[in-house]
Amino acid sequence: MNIGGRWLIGVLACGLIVSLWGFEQMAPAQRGDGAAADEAPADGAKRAAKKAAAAKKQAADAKKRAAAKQGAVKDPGAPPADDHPVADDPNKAPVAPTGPSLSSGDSYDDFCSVAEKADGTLYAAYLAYYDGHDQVRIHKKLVTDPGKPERWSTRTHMPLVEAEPDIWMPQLAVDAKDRLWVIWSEQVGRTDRKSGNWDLYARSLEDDGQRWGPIVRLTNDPKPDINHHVCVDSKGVIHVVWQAHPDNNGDVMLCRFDGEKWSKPLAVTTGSGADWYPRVAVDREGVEWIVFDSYRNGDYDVFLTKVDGDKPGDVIPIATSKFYEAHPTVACAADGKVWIAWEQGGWLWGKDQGHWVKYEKREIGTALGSGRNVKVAVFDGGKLLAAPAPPVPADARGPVAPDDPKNILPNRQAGGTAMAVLAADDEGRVWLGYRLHRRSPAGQKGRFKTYWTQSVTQMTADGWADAKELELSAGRISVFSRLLPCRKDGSLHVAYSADMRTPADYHQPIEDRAFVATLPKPEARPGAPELSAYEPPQAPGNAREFDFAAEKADLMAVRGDRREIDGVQHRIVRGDLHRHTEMSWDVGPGNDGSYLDFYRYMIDVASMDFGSLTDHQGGGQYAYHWWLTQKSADMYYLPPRFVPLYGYERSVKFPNGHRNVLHAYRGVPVFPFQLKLTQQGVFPGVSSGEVVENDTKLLYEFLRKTGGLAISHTSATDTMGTDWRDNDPEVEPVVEIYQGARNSSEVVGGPRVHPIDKEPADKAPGGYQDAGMVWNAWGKGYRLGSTSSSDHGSTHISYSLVYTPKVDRQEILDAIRKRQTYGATDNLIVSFEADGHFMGQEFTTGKPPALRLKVHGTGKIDRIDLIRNGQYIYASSPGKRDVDVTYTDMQPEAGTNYYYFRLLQDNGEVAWASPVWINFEGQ
Amino acid sequence: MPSLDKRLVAALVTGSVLVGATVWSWRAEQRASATRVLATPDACLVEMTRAAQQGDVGAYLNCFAGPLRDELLAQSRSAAGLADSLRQSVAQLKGTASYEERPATTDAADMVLERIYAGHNESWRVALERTADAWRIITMTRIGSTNPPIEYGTPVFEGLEQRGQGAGGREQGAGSSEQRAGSSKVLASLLPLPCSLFPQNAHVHLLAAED
Repeated sequence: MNIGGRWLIGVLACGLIVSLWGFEQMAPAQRGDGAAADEAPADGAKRAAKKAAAAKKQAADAKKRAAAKQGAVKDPGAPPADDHPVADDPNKAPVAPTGPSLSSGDSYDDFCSVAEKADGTLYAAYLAYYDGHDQVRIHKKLVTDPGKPERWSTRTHMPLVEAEPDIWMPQLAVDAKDRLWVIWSEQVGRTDRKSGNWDLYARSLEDDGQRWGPIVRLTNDPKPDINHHVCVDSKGVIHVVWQAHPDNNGDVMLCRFDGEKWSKPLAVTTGSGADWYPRVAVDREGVEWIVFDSYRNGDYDVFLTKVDGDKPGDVIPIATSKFYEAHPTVACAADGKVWIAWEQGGWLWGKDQGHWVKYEKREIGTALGSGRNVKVAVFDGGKLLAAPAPPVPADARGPVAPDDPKNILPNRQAGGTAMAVLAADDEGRVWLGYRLHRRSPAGQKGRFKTYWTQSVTQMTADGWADAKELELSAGRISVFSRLLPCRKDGSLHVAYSADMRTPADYHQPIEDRAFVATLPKPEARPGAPELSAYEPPQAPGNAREFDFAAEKADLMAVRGDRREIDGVQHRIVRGDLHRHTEMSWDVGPGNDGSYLDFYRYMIDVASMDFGSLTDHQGGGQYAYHWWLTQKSADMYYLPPRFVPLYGYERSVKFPNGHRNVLHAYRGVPVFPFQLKLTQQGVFPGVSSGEVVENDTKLLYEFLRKTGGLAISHTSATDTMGTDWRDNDPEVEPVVEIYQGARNSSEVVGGPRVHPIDKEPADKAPGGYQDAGMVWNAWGKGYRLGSTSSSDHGSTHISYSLVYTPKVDRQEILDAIRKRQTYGATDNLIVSFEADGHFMGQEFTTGKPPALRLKVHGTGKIDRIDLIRNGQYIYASSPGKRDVDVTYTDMQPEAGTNYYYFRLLQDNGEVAWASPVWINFEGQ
Repeated sequence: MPSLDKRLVAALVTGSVLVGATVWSWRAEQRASATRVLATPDACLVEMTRAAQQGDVGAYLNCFAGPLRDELLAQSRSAAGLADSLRQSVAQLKGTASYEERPATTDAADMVLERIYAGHNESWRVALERTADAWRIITMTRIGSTNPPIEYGTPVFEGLEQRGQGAGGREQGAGSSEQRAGSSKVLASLLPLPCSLFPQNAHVHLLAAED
């Protein structure tokens, strides 16, 4: 061959290589192959944004109608019908606020704060969710003639960092130069596809209210800086404490403003113990006393520390029993004593409890919304003294005191008092505000609907004075009220928010509003009764211990496991994709606790890697609840420690069935019930059976456009279940085969399935019907992987485990879509593959397939069952923790075979691997 | 024309080289593939069973090593219709399950091989050693026969079907003949190797399903 020929061959070869490489690098859409479908979510996002705008308008209309309805209800506690009429005419301006309510009726208002200037002028600020973003709205109290109703200025807005901001807890303070400051946390840099960073910012109103000063950024850590608390000392120095997450773990931080400049953040606590919700008060010596709660001891305890200059002091244990002791508050009284209050909830809060462990008498912990009461103590000269508990009206008392040692585990005695806030005035008076649990009259099936109101009391020589339950204060438990003693006249300003729920539907919000109430100076002189030493509460009579060391070892094993799937290394993430909070209408603020405590549970108590708050219809199709749900999922985005997904439960009754809906990115609206036009009233409620025939198919269509997933749950109940009339493997790839709150839906006679041979169907929680067993779905050829989650009340006994290449929202959702999942009641490691195809996959072969199961149990594996096409084909009892077994199926059936393993440990724990589907083409 | 001849020669040489490279690559892949299927003790047992079912004598013998392989090889030369015998020996076998009896070292493994029949399982202890990047069987010893916790082929929807709420038909291959086959008495417990070729275990010849 001549030189030219070689060159020609060389050039052609290079061209071929470059072409092949180029093809590989080409975008799927350019290639024109099937992978282009992967790009669909981007278009879906745009469509979703348009839909979001439409849904927003719908929600606003619904809110107006609801508020109008509320005005028609004869509620002695509700505002007069003409107080804040919701304008039917959109051109009608909102009315100016009068009385305690600041709200104008065009927004959802929360996190109200109040501050007083030297001349006694009162300012109030609150977060207003308006038109798809947050605002800080500010009012000044106007001077009115004595005896006339108090009036506030028309609101103004403080410009924030982002044009469409996402903020948290705006708080007011007045500095030494009598300037008003707003200190808030804001998420910056968020897009629909990724969470931004939460930092603290401050901005002052300069020149006696003539202009806003520059925005001062107080923090710059790349992880969330949130849950701040602001106080001002007697010299006008502003003190700010907050919860930072430098290592994805709550640490307490502090900074100050001396009138000239803001100090750099000072780490008050560091280390692996998760510290939450710091609060600060300053004594007359200028020493900062900071309280916080922490999971450092394996349950929530309250600690106190002080900072003198830039030296954080020792951390002093205040309440360290195995009860839930959290949400502390602190005040420094004029006599130098440090008052501390916190809420004490259930024993081993959030540990194992749910239907089957109760059935088997193995309950260890208490529900997240378990009964709680505010405890008060005084730290005086190194001693901790017990102060009386705040008063609870007789008609608000639960049947059993939560911490009565003779009580059973205080699991379902939801109620009591919570969210304490202390303040001390210059006369030596100590004020205490708290949320008070109330319940509606018993409704159907004797169930109560519950809600919380705001109460305030003050300490006297005879103990706490009768509490004042503030009007119009019904709402969530998660209301952060602020107390501001007035220096001029000894009165107390209370800033709070409420959502105007009515006696007819005390679980259902109408409109979140902000309030400032002023309580006159009490006639009783300040004082305190003689206090004795604080004694920690006794354990309940039937308290069980929990093996923290064993759980830690199990979790390390789960997190350390690595598995190669299709050439890519994967790890297991543990999650819960079905949890409720106070924002679910069906139970309200009952057993599930607040949306804030959902995150504590997920991050610390259950040590989840991912999960989703899935309140019904995103919080009852109530726009602010869905906003809070999504916003809080951004606030606690702490990869790889914890990755919250955006989710809600869509509760269409049997036979369509309930489904949890999950999204990897924000801004997709809740898909409403597609109702028949046979309903009356404003809302269909959180569950509906009156939907059009193709309601579920319309949901699938919506999820295809928006990149979301749906997961059917309790499919074998006759209330929430389904007869498996619908499935779409692309958007409904897995099923919640077991639910902690109720039963397994695997198959009649299966582990943790309602024992129909022993107990009638009506004894099954949620009801019973066996057409919804998951084996029916598999029998119909549905490609469904297995997951396990909790639902109402249940904690720590049901996990969705996912093999993912990265701990990232989209990657986790994609892994679920690939059915690389298993469900388990404990921290088992389960890996199942067939001829190198991981569980969830489907493939074709002509050889007898070899199915390999690898398990690391948390106890001895008592039983392995391998199921193919609705038949047991292999069962064994290994009797050890580690199992690695390969089954070769010599007689697969022609066509499609589904196979999966189910495991049962000798301690009753269960795991369900996702199936593999094998199309057998051999003889 | 001379230049045409040169081009022809060049083309022929190039073609020959390409064909040769392809054949070499294919054979190398075949060799690697043969090793890959024996890459773990488990894989060796799976391959032995599959080879028996396919009547692939070469692949079957490739799963053995040492004196056992020599003995099998010798018998295979004298046994007529070995491929058919292999196929027949696994005809009633529903499946096999294999797992480590004790943790393997880098060069030796002791496995348990459960052979699943309709009505009973049969367990064997299998010793393997690793030679030249492949695991091969060096001994097989019968442990015994057991009744499984749930019999092979037990359907789970029996009760449901009786109540008329049915599991719904499978999309393909619905139904199964396996449960009906459970009661037939067959000579099902053969190794995937004619026992006559397995001298040290001759006492397990032709075990019946009830055993």
